[in-house]
Amino acid sequence: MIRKFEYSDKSSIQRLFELLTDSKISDSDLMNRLDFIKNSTIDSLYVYVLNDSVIALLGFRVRENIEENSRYGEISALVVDSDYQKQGIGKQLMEFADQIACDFNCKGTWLVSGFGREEKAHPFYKSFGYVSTGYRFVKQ
Amino acid sequence: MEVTVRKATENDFENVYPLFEQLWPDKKLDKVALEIVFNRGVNSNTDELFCLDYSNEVIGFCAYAIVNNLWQAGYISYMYAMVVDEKQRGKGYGTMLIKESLKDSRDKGLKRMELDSGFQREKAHEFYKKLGFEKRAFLFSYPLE
Repeated sequence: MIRKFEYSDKSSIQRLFELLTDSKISDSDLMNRLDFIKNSTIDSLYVYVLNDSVIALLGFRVRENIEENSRYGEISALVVDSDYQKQGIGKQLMEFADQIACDFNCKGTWLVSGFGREEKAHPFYKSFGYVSTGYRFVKQ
Repeated sequence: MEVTVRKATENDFENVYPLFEQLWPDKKLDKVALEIVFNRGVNSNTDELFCLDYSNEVIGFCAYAIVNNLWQAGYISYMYAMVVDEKQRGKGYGTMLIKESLKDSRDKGLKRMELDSGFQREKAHEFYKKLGFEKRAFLFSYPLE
């Protein structure tokens, strides 16, 4: 089952987030992020529940396109527990994201995938019809 | 000639629009819709829009939004538009726009600036690198229509 997150999912979300970012996230940092999602009108966070355990999560954001007054959906996070990968759960979440994008009248969806994920993540995204279009630049 | 970077107002849209046409040459722009988006940005507490004037003519524009996301606990600056008139490129005006936006972002306590740029904009990539931006990730896109 896929549903919106609840605060009681906190420890599972923390574990999945640490798996995704490969770094520790403090309790207060996590609470800040969850509060941010709860208060945001454009962001949402979904969890995938199997046998009462949260084993995957999906972050979704609706982004307004400045150049044509239209919307795009953004997959802002996607992670599946290492014990449950390659079982089609990521695929179900990608399809779920498509559905939300349609519900919000988005013209498409997009995502940002960090350097270093080329081998595992990129073929996965490409299998859904995603095309890489450019780079994300960052200045601290 | 005097060159100044300043915050944009609703009155600037007519002068900035030709720059948008240069920024997105492959898109059929809807001017009415774009003006709505522009004015929304000008009046928003979470957006900052800048014009660069060169002897009373707008020859550069950039805009950033203050955003948060799941990936960082805290707000950052996301630059969503940046353009200098093609006749005036290579003269340091873009650098002035970016530096003013960075200063403005830092004054607001924002931790970093991010921006996205298509593969085809190779000259822009060199420009961002020179200003200290690092390539960190790939963008992927999937049209539903």
